Amino acid sequence: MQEKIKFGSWEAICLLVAMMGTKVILNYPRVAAELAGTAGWIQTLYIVLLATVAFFFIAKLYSRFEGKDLIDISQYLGGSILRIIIGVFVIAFLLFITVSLLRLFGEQMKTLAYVASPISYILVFFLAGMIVVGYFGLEPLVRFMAILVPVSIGAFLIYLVLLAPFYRAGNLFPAFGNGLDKIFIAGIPRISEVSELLFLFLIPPFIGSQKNFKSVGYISLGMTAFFLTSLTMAYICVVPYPAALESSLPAYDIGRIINYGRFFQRIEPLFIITWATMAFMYLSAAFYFTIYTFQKTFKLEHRQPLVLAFAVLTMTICLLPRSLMENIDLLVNNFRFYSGLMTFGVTILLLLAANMKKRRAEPRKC
Amino acid sequence: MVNYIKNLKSLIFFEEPEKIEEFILKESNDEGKAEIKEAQKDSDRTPELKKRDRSIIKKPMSAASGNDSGEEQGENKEKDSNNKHQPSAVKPRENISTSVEENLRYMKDIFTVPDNGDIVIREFEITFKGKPVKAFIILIDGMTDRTVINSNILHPLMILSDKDFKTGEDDIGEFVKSRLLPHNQMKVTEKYQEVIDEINFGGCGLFVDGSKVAFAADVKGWLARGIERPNTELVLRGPQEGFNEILRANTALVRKILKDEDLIVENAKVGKRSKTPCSILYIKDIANESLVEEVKRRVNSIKLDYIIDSGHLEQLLEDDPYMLAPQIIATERPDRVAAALTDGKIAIIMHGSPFALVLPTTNNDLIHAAEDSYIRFPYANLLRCVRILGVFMSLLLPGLYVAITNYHQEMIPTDLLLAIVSAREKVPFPTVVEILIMEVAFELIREAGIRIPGPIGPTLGIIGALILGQAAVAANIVSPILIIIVAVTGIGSFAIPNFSLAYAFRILRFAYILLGASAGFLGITTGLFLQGVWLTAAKSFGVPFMAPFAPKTSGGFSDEFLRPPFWKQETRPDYVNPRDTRKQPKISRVWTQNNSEGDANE
Repeated sequence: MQEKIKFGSWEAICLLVAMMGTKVILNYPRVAAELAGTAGWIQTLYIVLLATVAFFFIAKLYSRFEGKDLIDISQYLGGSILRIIIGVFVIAFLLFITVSLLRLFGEQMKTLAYVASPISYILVFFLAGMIVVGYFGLEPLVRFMAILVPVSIGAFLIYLVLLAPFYRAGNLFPAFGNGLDKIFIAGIPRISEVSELLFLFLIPPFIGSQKNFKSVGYISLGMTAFFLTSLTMAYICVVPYPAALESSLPAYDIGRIINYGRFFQRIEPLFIITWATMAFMYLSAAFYFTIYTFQKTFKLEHRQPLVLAFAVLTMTICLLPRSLMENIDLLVNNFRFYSGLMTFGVTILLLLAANMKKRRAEPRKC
Repeated sequence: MVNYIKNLKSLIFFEEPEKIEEFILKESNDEGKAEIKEAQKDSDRTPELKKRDRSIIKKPMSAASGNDSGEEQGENKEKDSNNKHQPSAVKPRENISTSVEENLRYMKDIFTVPDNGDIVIREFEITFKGKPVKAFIILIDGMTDRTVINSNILHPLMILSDKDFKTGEDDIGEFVKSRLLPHNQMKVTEKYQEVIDEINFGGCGLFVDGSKVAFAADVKGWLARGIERPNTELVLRGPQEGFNEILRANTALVRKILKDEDLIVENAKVGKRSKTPCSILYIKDIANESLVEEVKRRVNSIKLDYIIDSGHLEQLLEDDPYMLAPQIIATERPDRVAAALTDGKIAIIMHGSPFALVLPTTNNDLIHAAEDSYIRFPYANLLRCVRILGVFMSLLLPGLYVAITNYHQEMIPTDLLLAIVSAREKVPFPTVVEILIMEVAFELIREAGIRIPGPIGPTLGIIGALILGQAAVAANIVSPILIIIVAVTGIGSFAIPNFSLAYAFRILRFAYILLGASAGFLGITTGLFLQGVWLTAAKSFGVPFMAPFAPKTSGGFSDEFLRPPFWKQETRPDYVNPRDTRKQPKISRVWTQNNSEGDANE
């Protein structure tokens, strides 16, 4: 049932960076500014630091389960019942992020360049990418991501450099923004911003050793911290605090002001290519893992028959929110507060229990 | 007067037409029998076996897994060799008879003599132990060298056999072989089929009365094209020789370059009826063993009647027939084949085709030209960058133009936007129709350019220039800027060194135009993503098509995308898993070292 494929650390890092860092092109900088004011970038660093600490413990607990993912561990701990319970939770998590991000990317594209097109028409393009990846599988996706992520990073860095003349360091003050409590206390539940780290707990069968698992986790968290922090900082530097709360597409909006002479201006449509590429990577990986987890949870032999069924399901659920604002409300004010519980809470509890069982079982063996 | 009345009558009254026997191509008695037999065989097989068969046809197995079925293949091969094609009227026979009369009768039946006009049979007598013995030779006129037959076969057999040989040989076959035939390539066989195969391929069969063996002399002598400059891969620097249609001439061209006894030229035959000879070339201590086995397995397992060109073979060997990009390189340059062999790749040369196949192939190989390694590395890198630009222009430029003019006008600088708008003012079509008209016209001219007879070639240029240029603009069918877009796209596609890849991009270009027209940059990004995933999933003989970038292998960018100086190309491509990874030592220019003299002496 399980695919006998392996991929290297670099591919895994690219996958996780794409999953955790893509929100930077959505509304993340504005949300950070809303919560912590001019200290949004500090809060971002703090969130990733919290996630890194949590990952440190998870990696320790994972040492006894090399090459096992959450589904395998739950099978070991509680048999088929626990495997199905955890599997359903993971599927729900993945399906939610797939659906809500699909809608968000679609709405974003509509706002950027396709105002006259119906949302369902735009969604079909993303869905095509997801379906194709669903059929081709994980191996080509992660390999292709290993090419696309560096290219996207290059485009991102060029974008930051092009914005340089518009940075106003004074916009970063007051340094602690809305206050230390808003940064550090209210920031705790925002650990959910990197809840896509859950993908790392689904790929151990593909990446093999525990050493790889750890290095992939730390490096991808570090790279995500860089992207989220640098763009949040750039956004706050370019757009003064009160105005920073207004933008629905911060990264795109500040891209519009890039202007070098009479010829080199209004290049933001070029970013549509980068934006769409990142969206394709995120959505297709999330969609693939939804199907993969479903297949693994219910021990199905083939993945392919699920692809179209899940595509229809995703598209249907995606169109349920009546507006973009309803979708954002669900994602930002609900999911991003509680999804950390799944990624970190459930994982740590599961690993603790599995470790205890293993510790009890091992002496008996001796 | 009578005729007039007759004609008038025929106009008014119906007259039954005269019965003329028309030619109808009737089904032959044997037609369909083979299929029925196959179907019967098929119906005997269990559903599991049928399923397994289907999977074997669709998915190329690995060499390792192929070994399991190797025995099976061997059995099939044996069965096949027993069941060689024979005319339905002639009862197939296996072993050669000792009676020359019987042999002659059988050979006449097999080659349908005297209906077959180019079959030559020459009967004569040789002297063995003072007695005349009947013999005959059989050959195909036009495929053999008459002088060689006369001087090396007929002359010794008919004249020299009369001499008094001091020999105690009782076997006439042994006597003929060791005393009478001075020809250097002589096959002795007991099987009819082997002699028949040799005769079909320009050999001369010799049958002697009383001998249980026959002889097949290699006396090929057909007319062939000489070694000329390659037509499709011209270079400014480097060898100017190209393959021709003769297998041995082609393998010799490669041997001449490599001069290595480890170069293996394995023979294979493809085609149940044509038995077209092929050679599989590899360097035994460099090429990966399992890759060699896989290539041999695929070549030997091909089942069809005739094969004409290596283009057929390419289509039969490739992993994914539905992928647009070629997965095997076809080259007519011996130096390119030699270079690929030194990297651990494998080449297949087929008799009758001036194109050798090089495999496995990755995306990079398709944009490399033979010249790249002969010129200095900065020039080669410039050319590679230009080619990559050509690839992008050929693939995306029209689609991007449609996307920008339809969806993303804001990114066009104002002056340019005004110029485009004013140029398009009188054009009645939307941009996408306009560009499709021009692209189709361009494709027509390109295709006609290849098919048009030489002397009227320039006419096409004039028509093309008029249609694509002045007239289309003057008639307000297209805008002048679009002419530039189509022209630049065409130039971009000419910069692609592999013509198969250029074909693929010509098809994909239309897809990108439609995607650009339907959703601007989003549509084009969708196309690129889907194409990227498809290419990344593809494999050529087990090697990922996008290697060395996806998956990333060591030295991928520096050795494959760009080219380092020749003395720094120390290792072979990692993705072909060669047996010997190092091409040259870390310091190949030993003279740059202080103690170079001493090293050199050592």
